[in-house]
Amino acid sequence: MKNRNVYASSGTLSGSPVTVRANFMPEEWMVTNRSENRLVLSFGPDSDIAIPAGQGVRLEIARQECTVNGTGDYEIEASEILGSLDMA
Amino acid sequence: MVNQNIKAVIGSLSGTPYEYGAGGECEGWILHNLDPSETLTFNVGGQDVKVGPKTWKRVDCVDDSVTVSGTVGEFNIIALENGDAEIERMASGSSSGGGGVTVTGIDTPDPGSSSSRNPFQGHHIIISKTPGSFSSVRYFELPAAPVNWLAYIVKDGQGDASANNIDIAPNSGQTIDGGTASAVISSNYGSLSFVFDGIDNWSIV
Repeated sequence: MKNRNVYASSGTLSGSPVTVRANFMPEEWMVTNRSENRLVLSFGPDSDIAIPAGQGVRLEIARQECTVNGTGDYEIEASEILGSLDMA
Repeated sequence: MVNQNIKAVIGSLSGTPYEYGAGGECEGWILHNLDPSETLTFNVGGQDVKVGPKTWKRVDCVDDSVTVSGTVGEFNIIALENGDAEIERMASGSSSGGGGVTVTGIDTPDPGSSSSRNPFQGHHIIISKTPGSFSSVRYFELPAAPVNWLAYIVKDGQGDASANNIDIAPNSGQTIDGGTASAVISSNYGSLSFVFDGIDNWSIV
């Protein structure tokens, strides 16, 4: 199994955007909408993605931060795959 | 290789087709129909891709634009220069299983029609909803981008598959046990399990 460096964050939105910044450069983002409302995810200009209630988006993108907006609970997990070493 | 940039748009149709240009050629597209009842048609590289209500498809196509048409409906279009993406329907009570496998999908999908099937979004699929108004058959299709070697279990949870067959087709470019024909659950409370080989074939196990 590959080693992974994972950054996780969760919270409750109240109509104002929240920017989440990992302390490393992730390769994959998983953003889950735990609310009953539609949330909007963005990785920068011209990259808005609607996440319907109860759904999630998994995206392979090299970004250190993303912004999520809307009303309700969200979960974010950002990860990078680290190298592995086998010793014979 | 992961995406260094993505472009995405949230749009809404009101009868007029909508063209979205990514500003450069993309290797793949996520076409996501957010509407609860309308089927939308996305034209990518000259090919029409129908996406049923509340479902999505990933299309590999090197092109720089997508045109979406339909009566009404909200949609996402995500342009990928490379790398991968998916939209997951979260199960209530999602949990991590053993062996590092995360179980993310108990799916109770809405039936589609023979011309617009709904792809499964989870791994454990319980069919418990009645067929559409003009059909006694519930039509579905296997996912376009499945997890390899993971069993996708489809169960007649309503116990009426004898009268209302559950018709499961392979996705575009895929086969089931080497053929393009659908697999059908026709016995009450019957079930079928499918495993994808990572290339193009589903085995019924």
